[in-house]
Amino acid sequence: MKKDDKIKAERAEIITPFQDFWRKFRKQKTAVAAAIFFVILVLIAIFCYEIVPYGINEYDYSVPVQGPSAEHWFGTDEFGRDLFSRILCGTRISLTVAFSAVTIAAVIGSLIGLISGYIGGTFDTVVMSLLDVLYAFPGLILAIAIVAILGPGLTNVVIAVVIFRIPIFARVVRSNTLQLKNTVYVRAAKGLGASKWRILLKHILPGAIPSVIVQYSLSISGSIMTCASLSFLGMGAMPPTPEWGLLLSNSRQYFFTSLHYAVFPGLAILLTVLCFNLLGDGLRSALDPRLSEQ
Amino acid sequence: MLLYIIKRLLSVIGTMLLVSVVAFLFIHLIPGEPARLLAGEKAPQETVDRITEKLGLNQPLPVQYFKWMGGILQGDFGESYRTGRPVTEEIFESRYGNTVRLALVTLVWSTLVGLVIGVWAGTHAGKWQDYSSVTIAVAGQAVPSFWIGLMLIFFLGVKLKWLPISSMSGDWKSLIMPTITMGGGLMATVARYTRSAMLETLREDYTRTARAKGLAENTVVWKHAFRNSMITVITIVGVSFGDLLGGSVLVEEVFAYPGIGKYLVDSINLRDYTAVQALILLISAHYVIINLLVDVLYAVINPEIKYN
Repeated sequence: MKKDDKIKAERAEIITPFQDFWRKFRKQKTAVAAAIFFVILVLIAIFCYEIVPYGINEYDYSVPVQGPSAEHWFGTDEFGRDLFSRILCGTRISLTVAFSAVTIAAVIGSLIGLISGYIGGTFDTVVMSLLDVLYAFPGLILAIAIVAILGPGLTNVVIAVVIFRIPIFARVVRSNTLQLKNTVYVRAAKGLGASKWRILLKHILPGAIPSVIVQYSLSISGSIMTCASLSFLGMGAMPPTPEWGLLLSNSRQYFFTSLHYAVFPGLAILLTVLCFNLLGDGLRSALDPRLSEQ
Repeated sequence: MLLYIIKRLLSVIGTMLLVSVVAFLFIHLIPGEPARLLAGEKAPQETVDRITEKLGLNQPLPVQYFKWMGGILQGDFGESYRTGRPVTEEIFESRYGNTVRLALVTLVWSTLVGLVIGVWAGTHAGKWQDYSSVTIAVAGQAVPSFWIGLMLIFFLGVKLKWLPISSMSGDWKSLIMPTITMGGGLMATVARYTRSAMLETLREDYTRTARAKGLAENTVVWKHAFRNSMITVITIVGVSFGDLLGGSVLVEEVFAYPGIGKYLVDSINLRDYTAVQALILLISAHYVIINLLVDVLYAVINPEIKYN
């Protein structure tokens, strides 16, 4: 009985990596606020079609391009559609594009980084210089070029973002792999006869996870911006999709008379991107103290 | 040092060769026959054949590539299919200069303002100056530039009528709104990095020594802390220049600014693929060369780094 109590007490003293992370993350008020806002965004993305007051394609020609009112909180667009409903449902589009693209890029990029860093030598040099070519196209230009090849549409935006983000994850994971592959525990695992894949996935990958998580959050905000930018240029979402960048692009025609049409989609992009930036900064401080000085 | 520069130069040439292959393959990567794409879907077969013959599209790809590359090295990017004029003329007559002017003005003001805000925040750590600067910087990094552009047009152009709405007139006044739009993000980035670099250098031993020997606070901040912070900042400005080039596409689209960014979007919409190829190659070349210059500059100003 007494012994059990002692074991319990000892157990309570062990701080798991997650507890350590949570202790550091909790202290940052802006990051916690961003995390709460993130949960709200996800809830909106899931339940948007149930909670919106109007359908996203519910035309009402009696109220075209009207400012905010009690019936239409964010006003209406050129077809009298409720902008509040459309912007709320736009959350699902932006988050779906960003999360699917970044997840695919993170998985592929991490695998490339792991394998390339672990094998090293000529293979590593060749793989990394090929990925470096993607770095030679400044940000949006690469995405524009890819969409120009594939044609407009949200699926192609996802593909463009995936290609654009792969080298970023590959670099992050590769540099972690290079550091970790000579650590004592990896050599011990090798000595015990662990297979290559076991070493890569069980011993090296977990060490790279914190950097991947930070990069993941920052990539989400970047991808939301890329998606909105491409749609704004007419290369992303197609009407009548309530994508924020596309809404902004449409608003330009009615801009001189109705400011509200342009204000609210922009605010939606701003708040969402801000949320993921702050979340990323907070995760970085909590997970990777070496990098938190930015 | 010289060896390092030569090594970097060689790797840049390698990168540019690969980039040129990608830009060349661009038109072949689009599903469908290149000549058909240029001629348009409903064009008669003779037109397609004529284009194929004229552009040598029936030759093997390597031959086409070397012909294309050979032309570019002599300043010939081919003909714009829409206007029939050489793409080189279309780009360099005025568009290129317009974009360079916009980018340079943006680079100068946003770096200067970013530096001032960053130093101000860094020297007042934990006070209201710091918090307000950080807030501005964090928000500045999250604002979509095209949205800021629209808001500026509405308030400064439409409501107050202080500035021209379109950039077609081409005088300095028409440059103000595009450059503010373009530089907001860069300013925010420079401010954030300067702030953290200042915080770091102000904690260093040499700063304490400088203070201890009785130097004026201004001398400590500017001569000791600021100078050493610049090393980080130069890298960030260099890296961000690429975002500036990419961002010019959005800004030029919002303001109908006649630069190469708008030309790229127009060319894609009009399926003028010779122009698109040229622009992709040109923009990447600038980006790669600027990155090279930044690396070299970094090596020159940072005596701590030895390149062997």
